[in-house]
Amino acid sequence: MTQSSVYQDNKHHVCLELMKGEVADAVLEAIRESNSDVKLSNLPGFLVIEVPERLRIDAESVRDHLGKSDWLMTDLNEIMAAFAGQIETYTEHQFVLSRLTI
Amino acid sequence: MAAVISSGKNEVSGNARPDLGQYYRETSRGLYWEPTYVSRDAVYPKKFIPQSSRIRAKNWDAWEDPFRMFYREYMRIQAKKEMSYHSIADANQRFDVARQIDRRWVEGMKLYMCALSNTENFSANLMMRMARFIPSPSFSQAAMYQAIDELRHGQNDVNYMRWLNRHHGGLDDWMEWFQRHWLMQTARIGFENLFSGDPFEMVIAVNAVFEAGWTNLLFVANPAVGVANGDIMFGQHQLTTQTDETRHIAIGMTGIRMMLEADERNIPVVQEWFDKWSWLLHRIVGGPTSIFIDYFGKKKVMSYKEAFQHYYLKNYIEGLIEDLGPLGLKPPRFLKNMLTENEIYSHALWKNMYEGKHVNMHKIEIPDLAERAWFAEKYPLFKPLYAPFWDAADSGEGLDLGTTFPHCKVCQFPLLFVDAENRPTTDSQTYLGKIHHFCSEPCKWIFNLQPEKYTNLLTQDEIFAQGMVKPEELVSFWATGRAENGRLSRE
Repeated sequence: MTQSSVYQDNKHHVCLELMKGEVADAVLEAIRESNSDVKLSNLPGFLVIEVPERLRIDAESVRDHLGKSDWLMTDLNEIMAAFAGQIETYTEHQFVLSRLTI
Repeated sequence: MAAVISSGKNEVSGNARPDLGQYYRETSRGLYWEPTYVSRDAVYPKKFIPQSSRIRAKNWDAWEDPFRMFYREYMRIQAKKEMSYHSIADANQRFDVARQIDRRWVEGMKLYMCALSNTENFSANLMMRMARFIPSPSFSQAAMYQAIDELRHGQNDVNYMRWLNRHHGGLDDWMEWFQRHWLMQTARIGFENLFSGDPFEMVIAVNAVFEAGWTNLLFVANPAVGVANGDIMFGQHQLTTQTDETRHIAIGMTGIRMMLEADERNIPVVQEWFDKWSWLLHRIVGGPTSIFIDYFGKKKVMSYKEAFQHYYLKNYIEGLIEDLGPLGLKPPRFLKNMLTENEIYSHALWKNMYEGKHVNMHKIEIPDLAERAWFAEKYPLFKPLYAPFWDAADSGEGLDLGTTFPHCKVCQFPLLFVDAENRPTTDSQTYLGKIHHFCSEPCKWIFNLQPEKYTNLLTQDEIFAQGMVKPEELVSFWATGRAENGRLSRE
C-alpha cells in the first residue's frame, strides 16, 4: 500500500481540521499553548491538526491570539471542517476532544 | 443524564458570561411536556415508525447534543458562515475566477452538483422525519437544525451551479439528470430506501455512517482536489458545508451510543443497519468521490485510496467506531470488500463512463500518460487491468460499449467490478421465481435482509428490456439537455 505523504495519520491521535484563515491561525496557536506534541499538515483550504489522545482549546487563549474579545468558543464551529475523536467537553470556556474510554 | 455523554468534569465556572449549557437544557428538554390529552402511541404512530419495536429507546429523554446548540446561537453562527461563504462567492464573481477552473473539473461538476443538490434536499426531508418521530425532545431540536443545515447546503449547490453556468454553461437540467444518469441512481434509490424505513435507521444511516464516515471524503478531501484544479468557490462551498456536518457527526455518534447502551437487544439491530449502510454508502458516496479525486481532478493532490485511508480508516473506523467496541459494535461487516474494491473502484467507473461517452451529459477524457504513470504508482492493479484499455484508446479505437450492463438490484450500479484476477464479482439469486443480479456479495446480503423492498424496483436495464425506453431513445434518455459549446441542444 502506498504510504500517504499528505496526512501524518498517527495511531491514537485525535484530529481537528480547520478552514484556513486568521481564526484557524489563532486556534492553532491556542492549541499549541495548551497541548504538547502538536502535528500539523497543510492542505489546500484547510489545516489538519493532530494531538496524541487528547486535545484542549481554551477560549481565552484563542481570544488573546486573535485579538478579538468577542470571539466565543461556539464560534469554533464556523471553521471546524472535520474531527476524529469524541467531543468530551464543549462549554463557553473550553473544547476538549479525546479518545472515548468506555 | 448528561454524564452519559459529557462528563462535564472540565467545565470551568465563574465568569460573567451566561451558562450556555443551562440555557441549552432549558430551551430544549425544558420546553417538553408529556402528552396527556392523547396517548403516546397517537403522537408517535406506528405507521411512520415501521420498525420502532426493533429499537428499545430507553434514556432518549436524557440525550444531549454535544454542541449544545440552541436557536439563537445556531442562527448567529450560521449567519456568520453564510456571510463568509457569500464574501468568497462575491470575490469569485468579481474576479472571474470561474475561467481559471480546469475544464475537466467543470465537466465533473455537472455530475457532482446535480447529485448533491438533490441529495441535500432528500436529507432535509429525512432530518425533519427524525425531528418528528424520534421520541426525544433534545434530539428533535437538533434534527430540526440539521434540516435547516441541509436546506442551506442544497441552496448553495444551486447557487454554485448558477454561477458556473454563467461562464461555462451546461448545468441547466440538473433535476432531470438526477433521475437519469446511471451513477446517480444509487443515491436516489438509497435515499428512497431510507424514506421507507425507521427513523432510528435514518440516524444510523445518515448521521452515524454517511455524515460521520463519508462526508469528510466528500467535503474535505474532494474540495482539496477542486482547489488544486482552480475551483476556489467549490473549496469554500464544501468546507463550510462540512462545518455543519461536524455537528451532525457528533449527534450521530452520541445517538448510536445511546442505542447501544439502552438495551443489549438493540446491538444486533444497530449492527445490521450499520453494516448495510456502510456498504451502501461505499456505493453512494465512495464510487462518485473516487472518480472526482482520481480522475475529474486532472491535477492530483492525493489518491482516493489515500483519502480513504485517512478519513475513513483512521478518522472514522479507528477514531470513532473502534472506541464503541466495548458496547458491542463491530467494524463494518464488508470493510474488507471495500478495501479490495478501492484498488479498482475509480478505474472501473471511469472506463465505463468512457465507454458510454456518447450518452453522458458530461465529457469524459482519456487520462494522459503522466496520469497513467501516477495511477500505476498508487494502484498496483491499474497497469494489468486498465492501462491496456487506454493504450487502445490512444490508438484511435472507439471503445463504445453500445449496450448496457445488467444493474445490481440493490445498489443500482452496473455489474462492472472485478477482482485482482479480473474475474467479475457478481452474484445472483432467485426470489419468488425471478432471478435478481447483484454487483457483489454485500449487495446480495442486503437484499436478503428485506427482499420485498427491492423486488418491485426496476433497474435501468430492466426499464430498457421492458421497452419503456427504446434503444434509439437511449441517447436522449441519458444525455437529455446535454450542452454543446455552452448551449443546450434539445430535440
